[in-house]
Amino acid sequence: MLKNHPTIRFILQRGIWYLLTFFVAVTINFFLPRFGADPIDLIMSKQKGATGKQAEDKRTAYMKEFGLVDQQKVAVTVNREIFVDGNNKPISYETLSKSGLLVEDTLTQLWNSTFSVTDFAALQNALKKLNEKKGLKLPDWIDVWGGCEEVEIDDEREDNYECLPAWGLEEILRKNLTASEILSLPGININMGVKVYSANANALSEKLGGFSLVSEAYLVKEKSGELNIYQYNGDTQKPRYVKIAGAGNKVDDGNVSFLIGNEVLYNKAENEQDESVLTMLIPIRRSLFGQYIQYLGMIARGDLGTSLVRYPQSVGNIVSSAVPWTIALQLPAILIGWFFGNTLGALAAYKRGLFDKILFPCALLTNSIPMFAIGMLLVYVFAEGLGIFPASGGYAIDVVPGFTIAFITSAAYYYILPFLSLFPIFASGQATGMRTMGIYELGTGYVKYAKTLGVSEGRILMYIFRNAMLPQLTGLALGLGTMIGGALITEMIFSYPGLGSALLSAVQTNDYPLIQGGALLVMITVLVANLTVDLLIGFFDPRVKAGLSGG
Amino acid sequence: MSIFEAKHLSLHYLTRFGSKVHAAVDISFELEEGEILGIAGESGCGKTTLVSGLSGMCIPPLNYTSGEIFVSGQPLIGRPLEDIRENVLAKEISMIPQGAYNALNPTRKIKDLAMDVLKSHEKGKANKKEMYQRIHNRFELLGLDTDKVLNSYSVQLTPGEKQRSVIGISTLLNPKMVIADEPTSALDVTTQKQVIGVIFDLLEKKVFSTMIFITHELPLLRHVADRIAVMYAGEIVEMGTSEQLVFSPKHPYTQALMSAMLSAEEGARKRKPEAIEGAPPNLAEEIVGCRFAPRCKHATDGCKKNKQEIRIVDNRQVRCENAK
Ligand SMILES: Nc1ncnc2c1ncn2[C@@H]1O[C@H](COP(=O)(O)OP(=O)(O)OP(=O)(O)O)[C@@H](O)[C@H]1O
Ligand SMILES: [Mg+2]
Repeated sequence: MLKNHPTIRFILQRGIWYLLTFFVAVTINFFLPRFGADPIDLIMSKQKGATGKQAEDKRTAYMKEFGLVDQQKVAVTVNREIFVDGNNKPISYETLSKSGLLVEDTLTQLWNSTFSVTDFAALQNALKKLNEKKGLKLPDWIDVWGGCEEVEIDDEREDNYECLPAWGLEEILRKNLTASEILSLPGININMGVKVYSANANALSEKLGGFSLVSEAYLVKEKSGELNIYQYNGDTQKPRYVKIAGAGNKVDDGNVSFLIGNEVLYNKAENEQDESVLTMLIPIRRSLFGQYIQYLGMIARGDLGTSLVRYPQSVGNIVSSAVPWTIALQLPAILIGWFFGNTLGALAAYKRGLFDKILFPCALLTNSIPMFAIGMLLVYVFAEGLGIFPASGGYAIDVVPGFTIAFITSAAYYYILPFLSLFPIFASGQATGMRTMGIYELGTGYVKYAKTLGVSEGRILMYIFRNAMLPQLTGLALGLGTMIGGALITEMIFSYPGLGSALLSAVQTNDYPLIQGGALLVMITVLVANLTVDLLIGFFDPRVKAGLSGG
Repeated sequence: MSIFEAKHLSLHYLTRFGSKVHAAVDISFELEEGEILGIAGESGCGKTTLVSGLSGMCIPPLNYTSGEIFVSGQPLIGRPLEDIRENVLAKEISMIPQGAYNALNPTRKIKDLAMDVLKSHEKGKANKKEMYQRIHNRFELLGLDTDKVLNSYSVQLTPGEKQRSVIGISTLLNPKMVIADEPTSALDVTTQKQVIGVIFDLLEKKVFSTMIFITHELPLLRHVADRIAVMYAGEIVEMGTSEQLVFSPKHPYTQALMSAMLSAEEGARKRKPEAIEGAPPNLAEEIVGCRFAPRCKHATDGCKKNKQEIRIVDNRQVRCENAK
């Protein structure tokens, strides 16, 4: 079928080739940081001040983020008291969770979205709304409090402590976080908490279809600084909190013992009869192949991972906030440079004579000056010497980025010197290339023929420009492709925000996910640019086109 | 009055290092309206060089050394180039270049190339449709699949189609004189015949009337040319009617050329073609005496030293002091 569609065949062929190249690039990108020294060791050696347990936790987090460990489902037995149905039969957390009625889940959503530590009234409102949406009207047993240490929580409470909400705990248990990680979660402030207690347990139990919810548990930071888990005793009249576990160290409470750490173990007391099975995720080191598959999956989903150094920012976020600067820095320089350089080159080839004699050496000279030299010279003369332009940055400190005239004028002003350091080099490179191509084209039979027939100068110039330009398009594509990572030096000299700067600091701090993400982005842009040009030339250059149709 | 005249025309190439290659020296001839002049000579003797300079516009590195050219009595050299481009090229003198395979811009369709020629000469009154019709009509005369060829790029055409397209484009403006530089070399025999047929068809249809025809093939020239000029090392060594040159050549080089020719005539089998020994002189160096003398069987001490001038022998021009 494809035999009859040379164009489709051509596109497919090229597409497959580029996809294959991309795949190889991804593979190289995956393996490079895994050769030689252990990347996690390298990073840890640069993390100052992290010692003991804290360092160990950090290492675990890094390993997880870097895809070195896997989350494996492990069945753990759970005390039946946590969830029981109307007939006092134990049900698993998952079943309850799937029922869609679990208050914890509602709150978890809130945790992820609107949680604000300053506006408790708003939080309370949000909670109410959420519950109303779910058909639950639970105004009197939702209580949000927090803030200062001296809060009177409940008369019946044995200690005066600050709490983290139970739903936070659930979240924490599911995510397998360590205590110190919990404390470093965004938005977590140990000095406040949300308490949900079932003062109206029976009414709730009806709403929940016979389930009774008795699983209030709190992660509590004691005055002493120790972390413990307290569980609500289920008594609506005389609510009490019983310490059931300590974080990091094993605490026996007669019934159960918890250990919260890298591994969550849940040991049921020997004499306990009823139990339900709760599956939990436990980190286990992955095989290299497993890591590779996981990496491919991430790439396929467009997930570049999480930065280790700027944890917990995602690489995608860092890159996408840096790339616009890089593009804004380079795109105008490349496009204008390309047009300017090619026009000059074509003119030099056509006119020759004095114009060429002056232009050509100038272009060669400019092209051979290293980029940093021009940049530093510009800074030295115009910023430090004359003080006309700013020496560094992308915009003035006193303006806020956004679509405002103040910001745009400031950015344009700060852009001039970086532009001037990039533009001449690209333009002169294009000019010399175009001149050579143009001179070659001028010597071809078709130009001579057109001349002997008196075809006008403008038309002949157009012939030359067009034919010489086709190879130059590849230069443009490569310029655009390497643009993303190519302005590193310029960004350094002018302290310009952008991907180059981001990558540089990533290299300095061994932030592998960020390096990999940036490298991948550069590869993709180069490949896409080349593919585009490949296809364009295939369509626009009859010399190539004839080749495709087998003519 | 002659339609074209060259007087003592000399041309040279300026090489990169500043030296000159005198590839056409002291060329003089006249052409009457309706006349066909054949130019013959071995490869590298300066045929292409000569005709490249006839239009009044030399494309570097080719330059005029000296001499004059008249078209319809008007001097050509010294006229502003823009004037020549607009009024002489393709209108008075049109060129069918050697090697049509690279004469067509590969990135433009044939119709656009033809259109470019028309537009370059007819500013202002451009009517695209009417122009296209004219191009179409002219290409109809070439025995081609007109629509297909016009809408093709040169790479999609066969050598014969390319050559005929070039002929079509070169004769679009009904030029007074056409210079065809080996229009059939690099073509197979049948295609050669077709292309020659097309050229003479156009002559018959009065698309143009006067022609300079360059070819290696002397037998062909005998049939088509009224007069023949034989070139050697940049000079015309003999010029006369076709009969004179083919049947009674006077210059030793013409004689050698004729006997070197593979001929299909009767009795030709018994005559062994004779190769001319030696090689032509280096045109970048100064040459003393007759240019052919080193290879000439009849060379004398005199002609080895004396520069040879055109003489009239037996009603034709011969550049040999010993020719009788
Ligand atoms: N651009 C150039 N620069 C210097 N010398 C040249 C240049 N072009 C041609 N010549 C020389 O001029 C001489 C005449 O070349 P020309 O192309 O006119 O020969 P020709 O008779 O047309 O040969 P052919 O039959 O092979 O086409 C040759 O000796 C060649 O080496
Ligand atoms: Mg030639």
